[in-house]
Amino acid sequence: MNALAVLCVTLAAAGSYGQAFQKANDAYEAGDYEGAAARYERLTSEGVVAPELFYNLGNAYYRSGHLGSAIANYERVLRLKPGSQTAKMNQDLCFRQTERRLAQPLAPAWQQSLLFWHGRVSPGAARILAILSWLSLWAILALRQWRPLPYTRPAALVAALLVAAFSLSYWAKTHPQPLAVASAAQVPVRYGTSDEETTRFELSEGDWVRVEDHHKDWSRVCTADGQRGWARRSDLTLVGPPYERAPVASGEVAGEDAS
Amino acid sequence: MVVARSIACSLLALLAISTAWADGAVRATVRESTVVVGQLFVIQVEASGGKVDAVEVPEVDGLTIEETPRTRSHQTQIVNGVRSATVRLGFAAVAAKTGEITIPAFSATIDGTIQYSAAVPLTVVEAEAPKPSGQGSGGEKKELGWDDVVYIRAEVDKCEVFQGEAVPLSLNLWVLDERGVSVNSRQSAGAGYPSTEGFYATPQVPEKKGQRTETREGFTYEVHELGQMLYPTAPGTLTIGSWGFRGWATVSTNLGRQGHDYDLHTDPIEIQVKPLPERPDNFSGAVGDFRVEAQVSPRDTVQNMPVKLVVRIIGAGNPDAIGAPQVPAFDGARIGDPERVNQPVGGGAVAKSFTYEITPVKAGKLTLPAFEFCTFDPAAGTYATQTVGPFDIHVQASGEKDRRLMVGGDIGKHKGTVDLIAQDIQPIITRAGSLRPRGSGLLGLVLIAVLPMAAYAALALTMARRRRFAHDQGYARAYHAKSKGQKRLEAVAESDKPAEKLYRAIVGYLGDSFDVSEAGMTSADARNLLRGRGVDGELSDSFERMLRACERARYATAALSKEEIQAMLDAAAQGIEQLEATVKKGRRS
Repeated sequence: MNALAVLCVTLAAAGSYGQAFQKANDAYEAGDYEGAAARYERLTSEGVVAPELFYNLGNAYYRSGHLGSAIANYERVLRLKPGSQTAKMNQDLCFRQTERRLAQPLAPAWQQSLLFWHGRVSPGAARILAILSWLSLWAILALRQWRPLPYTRPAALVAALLVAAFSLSYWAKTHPQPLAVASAAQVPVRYGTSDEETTRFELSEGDWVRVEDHHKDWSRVCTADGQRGWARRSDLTLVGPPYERAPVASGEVAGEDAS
Repeated sequence: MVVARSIACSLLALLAISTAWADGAVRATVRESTVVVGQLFVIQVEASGGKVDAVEVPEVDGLTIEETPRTRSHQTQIVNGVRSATVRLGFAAVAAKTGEITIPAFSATIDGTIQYSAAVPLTVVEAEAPKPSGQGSGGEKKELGWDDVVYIRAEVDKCEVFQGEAVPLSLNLWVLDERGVSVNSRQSAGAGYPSTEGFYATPQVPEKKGQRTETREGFTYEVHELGQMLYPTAPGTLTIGSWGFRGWATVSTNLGRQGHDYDLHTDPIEIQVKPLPERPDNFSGAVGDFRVEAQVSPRDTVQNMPVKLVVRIIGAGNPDAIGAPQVPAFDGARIGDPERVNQPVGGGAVAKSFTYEITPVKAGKLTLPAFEFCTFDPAAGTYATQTVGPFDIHVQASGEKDRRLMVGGDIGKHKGTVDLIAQDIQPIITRAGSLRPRGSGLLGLVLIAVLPMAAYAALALTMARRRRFAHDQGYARAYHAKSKGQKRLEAVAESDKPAEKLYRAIVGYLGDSFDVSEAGMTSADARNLLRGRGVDGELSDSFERMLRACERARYATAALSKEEIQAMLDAAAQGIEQLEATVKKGRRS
């Protein structure tokens, strides 16, 4: 009975998220891109994580002229669903419109060499494969206990290797390198965490950086070519997870459903 | 006394040897103590010790010693487990002035200690020019000086040009091609090239054109040629800067080997640049001797299927200054921006091609109108206009109806009827899958991680027990002894010979519990068995009493009453429980 009640509540909540998503889509179709972005952001802030949501959010930001936030949201889609061609196309289009076309910082070398194969695997798929491998491993070991069949030892070894590979892949997918995209037209990157500090270099909107550290309202960033410095967090859209609200988001939803 | 003296002599000798070795740890020598000014000679430095590190070259006025040794040899010896190394380095040196020079000590770090060589005195005398044999044009032998061994020339073919006209710059290094003559450059790559400010240069720095052999005043020279094309970008007087070459030459003759350093420079070259006459409107920017070719292919096409117009401009001149021909727009077709490609075609000429994509949107015969291409010919000093076209294109009507143009968007389902002419983002997704806050799923993952392990552990224990039951009979009997004993006791009440049955139940239980044969077991045997297994005396006696009572009842004339049987059964059940508890306790302890 309790389970039924929980199921009903869950379904009702999912329905309300679906309605909010639809209203955001309607705002987008009506040309209210800022409003649509705010509605999508509200869903994001409520913990909804879906590639479709981030994709539409990217579109809304692109249409409202926020190239950096659009790129960051398309990257979220690609992290959740690496095979998404439309997200890739849109991100490429945005990237071509950036001023410097600064490349995305590469993943750590050990990931590039060990996990060269997992680029097209989504986090969900990696998790399922890891679980299946794990269950297979114990099933094979149980089979060995029950009856000494041939080839169970190499099969168990293979299953153990698959468990290690997919678990590592899943871990890397859920703990990706912290990337961010410059969201303001010009983002000064300074030597220290103060506006008084000397500007070391500047980022243009849409430039990729890796976030290495945070200190109050500042983030220490590093570009693909190794330049480092401190930039204001409000000038960056973090890709996540966690999926933080883009700093350019208006945060207000007009209309009766705002509450 | 004699012994003490001999020991003292030995110690002195050892001291002298060690001092000599210490003195000789770093040694610097020259083959001849007199050298000629400008002559290359070698300073040999030898360093010996356990571990020889870097050798420092001293600085001395009037003498240039190369920091990098030209020869190097290394010898390692291990005697009685002690490693020693000897490094021999040959440093090339050239004296710049005559007189007495003292080469200061070379230092080397040996086993972590800096050690020095002795100073080397040197006498430098005046040089005499080498006299390689040569034949002048009149058949007379000519004596060559150092200036004739290596020299450089910078040349252009004209000093008065129009703005944008090509000025080929040729840089030649002449090296005497005689046996024993060797020339080496001392300057780094790219250094010393002439300044070309005010010119558009291709390539940016002179590149090697080739090598040829030429004869001058009866001597053969190898000429190394570098070249660069310069295009003046502004009228007035422009200067091609001086070209420099730094290096050294060595000449081996009968008199020996001599060397000479060079620091050569050419004179700057002034170029007078005339402005172009008043430019016509259709001037393309091409200055030089150019011809224009154009081609449209295919000439037959289908509506909306593009054809290509390729315009090639071939000739000598600056290809980067040539602007795209102005292809006139015409009704019934769209003309895209051209693709530009530069190609060298040999002989100093270049070809620049402009490829236009022309998409007919109307069916029928379309005519691409003629268009002009205007160049400036510097030889004639006038503009030349060449006309290209017209071109006819035959366009068949497309079978596709209602074909539309679209700027961006999703053409997926309209692919057949839509031409995408500009790119835009793909549209939003209207149907989302599961929209719900995503939990961490940690509990599920932990369960998935732990449950298989727990299940496997349970299975492993079960299988281990089953294997033990199968292989360990005593364990199996003891394990089931209590349940079997209780079942036997239950059967006693319904038996017509309860005393016998009870006796068998008790000895059966004892036999199972201790994995012994119960056949023929007497009450005394049971007591001894229990005591032997460490069961306390009272419990052993209790079992003995129960068995004796059973024995007595078996052989008694009167049957036991129900109450007596029940009392014996209760005592037996209690005894089994106590024994189980005792045995378990004994196992645990």
